[in-house]
Amino acid sequence: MEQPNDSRFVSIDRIAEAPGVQDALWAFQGHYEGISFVTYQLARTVAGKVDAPFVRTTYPESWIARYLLRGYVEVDPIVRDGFARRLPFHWHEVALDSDAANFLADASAHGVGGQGYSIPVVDKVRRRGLFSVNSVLPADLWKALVELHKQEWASLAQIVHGKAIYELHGEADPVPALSRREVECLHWTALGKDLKDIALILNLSDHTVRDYLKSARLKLGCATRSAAATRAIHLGIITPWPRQSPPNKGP
Amino acid sequence: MIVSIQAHEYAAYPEVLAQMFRTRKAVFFDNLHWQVEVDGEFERDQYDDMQPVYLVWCDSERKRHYGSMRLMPTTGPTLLYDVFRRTFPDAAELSAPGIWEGTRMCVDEKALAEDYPHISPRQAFCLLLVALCEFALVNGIHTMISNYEPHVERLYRRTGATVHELGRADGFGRFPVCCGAFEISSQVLSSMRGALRLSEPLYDRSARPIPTILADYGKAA
Repeated sequence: MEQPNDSRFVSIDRIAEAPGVQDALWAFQGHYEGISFVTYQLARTVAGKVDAPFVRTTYPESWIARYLLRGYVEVDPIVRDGFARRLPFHWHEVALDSDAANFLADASAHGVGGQGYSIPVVDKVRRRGLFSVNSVLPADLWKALVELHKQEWASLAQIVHGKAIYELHGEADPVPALSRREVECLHWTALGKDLKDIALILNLSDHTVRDYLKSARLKLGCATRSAAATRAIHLGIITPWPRQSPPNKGP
Repeated sequence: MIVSIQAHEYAAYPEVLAQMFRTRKAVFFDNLHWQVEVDGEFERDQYDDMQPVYLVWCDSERKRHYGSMRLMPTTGPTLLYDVFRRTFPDAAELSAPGIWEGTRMCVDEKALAEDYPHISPRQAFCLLLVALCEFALVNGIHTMISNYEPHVERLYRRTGATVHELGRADGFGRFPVCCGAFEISSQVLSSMRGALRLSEPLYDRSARPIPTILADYGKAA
């Protein structure tokens, strides 16, 4: 049924459901045409506490070894800027000093593509991650690809960050706190209702329903609404059958 | 020019940011009597230490501040989540990339009157909203969450903005507080540009000086 070696058959759910960060990165790379490498980094220092560096990447071993050996983390302008920025950015927007320019030339000589896009991630306890995508596509094609996928990639970056926190600290809330509206929207999604149906039922705008479902889906670590509804059922957050109304959230 | 200023760019705008914190004190502490933290002549709080993005209208010399707001992703700590979680649980608990909160939106009426006498504070407010919409579209943000007083909603609607009220509560001040979601899309942007008779973009991602559109704005109206 599944053909994991063929990129077209790697669904976006497979990225979110990958057992670890490294698997998720491979799945991500396989899902989108035109991507050379994917990297996720967690900021080393969090609120005064020094963590072990956490980096997962699909770059070749030879480049990773060279990067570590030469202490490139100190000059890598993407890392330096990425943890100060809040907004996703193209690598060409980053200001370069001569060290950084030499580093990028060396990277290019070792197969790193000329195009890159990084997505800063932050969670409720202020842990910072950086999700980066690299490509050899020409600039115009790359820009179009990013425009097409940037919202989806931002969601997946958040999901990968959650996996990293789990790998590093083993802390994942198996039953995330969802608001009443998020639960209601999941309930009706599980019953096969689409955005417009749910908006009518709950007397909300389509846009608001979309927001609640996106928020709920990411709290559940899912890439799609249907996966989120399924997960919510498994966790007992919703019980859409046989009852026809969503559960009340406690007294 | 209307620019976004992230943490790695703060150092390039020292005077503008200082003026922003002064304006915030004048608007929120002195005028509106909000219970906000004041540090000397500045209004600053813990969220300003969390590397927020500021959307700022300033001159091209980076000396003068005309208006601004503070923007944070809802995946991280937000004022709405910490302060209004009990009041507006549905809105405050929204958390996703692409959903950001906007707070402390203000205009410096004195600086405006001096440099842009033809732009009223209300027009300035509307222009900032259009720039916010442009900023959000460029950066993959589809929803801005914000709290506001009920009468401001009429202003939002007159600018062509699409606001979905997610909650409303009494007990914070003279007026009820509303919490709403601003829809960001190219359709909303063109409706806002139409309502304000704008033909060119206001927000400049790369912080280059923009055309004379602001200098001319309002003269024709």
